Amino acid sequence: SAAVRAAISRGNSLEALEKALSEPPYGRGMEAAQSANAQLVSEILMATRAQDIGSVVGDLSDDDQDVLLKYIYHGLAHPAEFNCGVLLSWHERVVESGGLGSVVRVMADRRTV
Amino acid sequence: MSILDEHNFPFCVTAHAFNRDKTQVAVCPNSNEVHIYTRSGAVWTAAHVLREHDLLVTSIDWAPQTNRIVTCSQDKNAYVWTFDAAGAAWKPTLVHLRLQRAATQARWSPQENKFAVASGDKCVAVCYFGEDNDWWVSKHLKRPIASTVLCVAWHPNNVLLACGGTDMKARVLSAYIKGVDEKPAATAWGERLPFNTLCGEFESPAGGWVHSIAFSPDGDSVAFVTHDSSLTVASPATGSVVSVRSNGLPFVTLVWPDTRTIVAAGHDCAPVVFTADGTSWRAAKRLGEDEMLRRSAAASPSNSNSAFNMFRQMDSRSQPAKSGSGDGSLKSVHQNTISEMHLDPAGNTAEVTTIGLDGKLVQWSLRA
Repeated sequence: SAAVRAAISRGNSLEALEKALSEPPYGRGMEAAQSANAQLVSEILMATRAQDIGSVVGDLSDDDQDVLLKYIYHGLAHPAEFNCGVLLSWHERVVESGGLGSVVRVMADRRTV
Repeated sequence: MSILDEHNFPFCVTAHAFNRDKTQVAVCPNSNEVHIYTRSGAVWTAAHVLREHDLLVTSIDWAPQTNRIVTCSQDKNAYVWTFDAAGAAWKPTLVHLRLQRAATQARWSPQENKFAVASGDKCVAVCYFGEDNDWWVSKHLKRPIASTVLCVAWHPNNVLLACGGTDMKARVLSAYIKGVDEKPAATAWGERLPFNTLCGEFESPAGGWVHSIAFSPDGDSVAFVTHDSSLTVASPATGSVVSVRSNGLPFVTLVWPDTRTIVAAGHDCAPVVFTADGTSWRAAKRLGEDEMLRRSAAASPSNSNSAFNMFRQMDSRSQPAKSGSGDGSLKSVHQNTISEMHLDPAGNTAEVTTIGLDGKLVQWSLRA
């Protein structure tokens, strides 16, 4: 996560996201790691400028887009801890790119984050 | 990719099967009956009603060569119907399935001497005709199926069976029945396979129920669609399992007409044609949408009430007028989920048929 924060401070959201989204902590008993990682991803999402969201989403791989959407839904489920306005604007872009299929995959996948 | 024929039934169609030359079709109108329609010219007329099941009929399959129909239902029974030409009626024969739960899908084997019934009893019943008792008996494929089986598909060699279900795995098992089958030649799936041997087990990356499964025409690969909106193709010969994500809602049915084409359809209401792209597959086209555009373009110039309709719709639905199909209909031919898709029973690889919950029965041509 040090590398991720370095990338955020440099303004390189794409690189930060790719690092944060790789190897998500799936599994039972991983709640602490999952919420820590979700906070990290949320930091990256809030640090990105609104006009850059589209290009960052477009440059992510399909797998990364699906994992990002899982984190977005994780955040939307805990509105007290996350900035839902930012999450919703990211959600719009990811669904534009991945379609309803990516939302279905978040719902269907047993590996939650 | 044109529409060869389109018919509107006044009910949701949940299962269908054509006879060999597509002059008759058996449909289930979402009830415990099966209706058989015959074609006279361009019109389908109701001919017979098969009433024997007590609960919803879940699947119908019509054997093209022997002209027998197998139906299975949530009432844990299956019947084999033969046409009695003298009485001009279909006569049912009970199948001894021995299931404790509903039957979900029934399919004749390629040689039509066996059929497989998938069920909620965590097993697939492989049925063959027992001459000594003069009725259909079943052997159950149980291990290692962990939950309801939703779909079955036969390998061209009449012995291997693919099944998928709610335990999110697609499996290939051997359904070799001594006495009915001859020993099959070795295939990519293995050789010398006694009944209930597991030849392959696959799943898609994000999981999800396996809604439909099919072998390739040569039998060397198996493709299945799952509820995570993806199509997965597995080939044991190369060891590759390729998954293609879809941007739309999940598919519920698929067919594999020729080696380079797979067609899948489902909750997105339009069949999608996938073509082989190297080792992977990609979605090539959606059927029927240009046809609908042609129809709405043809309709609108002569539609003098369009302004009236637009304001009436704004009033009744409190929606601003939309460009395109302002009457709320979908861009695709089917207006609701496509529930089942079949290949042409006579073997024509360029034609598929679909039925939907909107009551439509559509015959498609895959050639432009």
